Amino acid sequence: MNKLSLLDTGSKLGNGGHCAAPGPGKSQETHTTSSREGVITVALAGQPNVGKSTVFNMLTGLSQHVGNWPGKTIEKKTGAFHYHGKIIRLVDLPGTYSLTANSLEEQVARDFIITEQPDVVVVIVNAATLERSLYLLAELLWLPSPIVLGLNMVDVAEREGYRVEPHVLEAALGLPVVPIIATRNQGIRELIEAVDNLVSDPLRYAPRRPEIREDHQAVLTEIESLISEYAPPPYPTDWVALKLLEGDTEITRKIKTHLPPEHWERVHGLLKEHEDAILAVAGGRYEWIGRMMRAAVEHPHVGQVTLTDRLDRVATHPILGFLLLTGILAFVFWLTYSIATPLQDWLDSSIVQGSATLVRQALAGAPMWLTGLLADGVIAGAGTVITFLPILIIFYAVLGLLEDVGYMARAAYVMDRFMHAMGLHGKSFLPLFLGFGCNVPAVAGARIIDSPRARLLTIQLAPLVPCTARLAVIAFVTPAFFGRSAALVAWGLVLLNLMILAVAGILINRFAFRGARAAFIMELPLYHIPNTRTIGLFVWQNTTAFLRKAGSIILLVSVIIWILSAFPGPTLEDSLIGRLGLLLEPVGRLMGMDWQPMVALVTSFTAKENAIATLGVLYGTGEDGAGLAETMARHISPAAALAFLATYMLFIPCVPTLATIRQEMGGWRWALFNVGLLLAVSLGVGVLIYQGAALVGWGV
Amino acid sequence: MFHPPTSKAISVVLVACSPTSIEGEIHGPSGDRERTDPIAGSQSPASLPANLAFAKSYASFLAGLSSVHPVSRHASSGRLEDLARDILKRGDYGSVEVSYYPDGTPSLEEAIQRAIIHGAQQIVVTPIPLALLYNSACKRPVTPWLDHLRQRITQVQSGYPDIQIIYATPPYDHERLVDLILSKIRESEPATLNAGICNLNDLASGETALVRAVAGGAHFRGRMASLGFTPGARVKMLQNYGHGAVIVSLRGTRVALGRGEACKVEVSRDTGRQEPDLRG
Repeated sequence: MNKLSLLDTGSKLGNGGHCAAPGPGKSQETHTTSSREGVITVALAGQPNVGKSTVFNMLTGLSQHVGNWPGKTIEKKTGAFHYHGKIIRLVDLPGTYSLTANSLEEQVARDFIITEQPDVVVVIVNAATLERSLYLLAELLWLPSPIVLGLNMVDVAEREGYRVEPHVLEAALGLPVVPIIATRNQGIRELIEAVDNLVSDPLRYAPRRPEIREDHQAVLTEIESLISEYAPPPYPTDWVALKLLEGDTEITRKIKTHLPPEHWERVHGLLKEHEDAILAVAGGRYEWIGRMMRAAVEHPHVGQVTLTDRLDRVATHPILGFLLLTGILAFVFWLTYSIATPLQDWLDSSIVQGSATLVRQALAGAPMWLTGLLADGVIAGAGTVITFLPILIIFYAVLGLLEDVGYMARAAYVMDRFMHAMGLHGKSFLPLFLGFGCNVPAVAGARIIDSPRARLLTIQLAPLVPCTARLAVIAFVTPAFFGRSAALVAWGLVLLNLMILAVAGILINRFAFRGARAAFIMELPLYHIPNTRTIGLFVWQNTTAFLRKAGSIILLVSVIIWILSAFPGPTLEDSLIGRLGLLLEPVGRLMGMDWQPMVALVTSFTAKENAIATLGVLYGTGEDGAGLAETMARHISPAAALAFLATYMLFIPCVPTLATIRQEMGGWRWALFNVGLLLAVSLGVGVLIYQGAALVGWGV
Repeated sequence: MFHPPTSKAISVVLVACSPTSIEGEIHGPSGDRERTDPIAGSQSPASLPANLAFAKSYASFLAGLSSVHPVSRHASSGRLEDLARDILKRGDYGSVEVSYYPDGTPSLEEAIQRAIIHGAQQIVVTPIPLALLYNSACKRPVTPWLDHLRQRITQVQSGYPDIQIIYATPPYDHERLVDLILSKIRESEPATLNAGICNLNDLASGETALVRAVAGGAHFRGRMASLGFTPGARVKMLQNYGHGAVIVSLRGTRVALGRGEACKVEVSRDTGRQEPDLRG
């Protein structure tokens, strides 16, 4: 099962809609087993790439609440809206291809429908890939809740040559079918109307259910009779029997505890005898789907070359596709920095510095520490966060666009070969690429990876991707030391990070996972016209999440650092921070540095960009950086600077990233492992570079 | 289930044989080794079980070094029938016969004759060393000589109280064995009849085929099934460069598969007939 869409689940930091405190399971949902007066609970289900989240966004917009399913790291989106005097509560189920117990998402989806029993389940299918997207419907029809079918993307289907007759489909299926074009907000109202009608008039609902293939019908009946009195409510007996035959691990485990031993023995014997019954079950569903389709769908002509085909000739070509990808990525970077950097400078000079000046003027008579705290601590800290925003917004916007168009799956396909060597696969490419903006969504974005091992590995490697903060710092520092080759050095440092990422991936995969590789099965959706609202929401949610998570911490820590550097002594060396730096000086000497850069490394732990601010404070030039570069060049040799920069780039993840790692992995063990790993790697590389340079006699 | 006509013309004969030298052991109980004229008067299937019981004991004798215990009914060669059944099911051949070599019953000639009666045009004879058939999962001792071996080990152990002598169960994994045997059979299947059947990786861009089976664990097969890879599904290879992931189209969806995953999908090529590809 594959979920490539960042827009569905991946890059949003689905943790506690309103506060930065990581706490899995802080869902505000209460159990409702039936609709209260005037409240209709609707579950929204659908496979990936059918436009389910577009529908959800259209209906709930900014009022949607993003949280977690209780006890899990899977994002839960809910929302509510009014319709004809009633409140409709919409729950977005994770997008899955089926409802087996193979993955947490599928379990979450089916558990919700079975235990919470929503009034209606709206299933969104893609008219252009109807044969496959109806598979989920075939599964859902066996569950108790009534279903309304939303036939989405009829425009895309038309373009590819498919024509679907909704009325015929409705008659064939026996349940309401509503054609919609979610991206144009067409048909959505009719969809809700159908939901409302279904709730008011449940007796008219008479769906046709798919049957298991003929040759296994007898076994199914037998199993049903064996478990009929023991299936725990609210699980429906016939569905449980079907799942047992499919080999569903969770259901098998559950039933085993509920059945008396002799019954279990017989059931178990039957299941062993028919181990490949999953094929009969799946086959039966597809036969049923085939019948429905034959009635209602007109196919494209033979040999018609679609737009997707034409685009894919380049996009998935091993060479051309790779070139296209690097071109697009280069364009993303160029756009981000060319638009964002001037914006950044403007923000920095006018807003940040401006407010600092204002504060100083306003507090002219106030004690020094207060002025310092506000102007140099709080505002400087807040300023860092604010200057970050233009880059992030543009970055997310472009990424969201590529994802919505459908290109990202091709990017994953092209990158699969490289990811393969590291024991990852193409899907890992996307979260890692997000890391260039900020490591926090990169770690969170690893959710789109199904295999736990690949996911763990991706999360461990994500901090090695140089984020914008680090890029900004090296862009600032390198000119002071390397003059005209500054850009080259900066690129070299980035490449060093990526190389170490690759090597680390290969080594961890070889030794910790013994070379095992997750299966690469991925759908390539049709290309389609992007939807601005969807992209807008994507950017909004990611940016606000960053502000909430990282912003608060950066702000807090800037203040702390200022305090640590101002107290207790009159000089910097006497301050608490100074003492910490002096402690670390021995390590620094191996890299040719004194204590100031070591302290900067320490403060970069809380937020990478703090390094600059710290250096400014410690070298006595203030955080605005004026003169800092020159001051540093006087104190540090080029070789030491290179070593420092390399160490800095590879250093342990910042606090927000670490917090996200802890949250995604559900504990401190892997987060601390990551800290240890990167600490060793970064210091090791730094020492190597400096000592190597000393040996060669360069820049010392 | 889709049955391509071609594989029905192939029959498989599994031959259980002992790895130990046959010549030296034949001087055992001569018993009533029934010989039948391979041309006339073959054994009717109904009388098989009685001969089989003896054949089992004989086979077990061949495999053992010295058998002093009465032979258990459920000797290892019961496994041969299990294997045959699964190979028939998964490989979808015309018939799968068992025989015991060199002079067991049914004999090689009988098994071949039975295959011909079933309509085989080509027969693949696959030797299975008896050592592979010992069932380690069974709680009761299934072969006398393993039992004997265990006793000997216990005896030797008592002589060395400070050393731990461990008995490792003989290797037996039914599923893997079936897979292994199937792959060996396929390797030697005559090329003419084999042409149609291959795995996804062997399809060139633009070729279409029908899915016959999906190998792998339950989890993998479930995932593939939910994406449409079920027996009978028509799949078209969109892109296959001989390395790297492939892209196929089935049930109206484009799916990218890694090579390791694609090779687990067994397909049979569409031969010649130009059926309009409705699902692109």
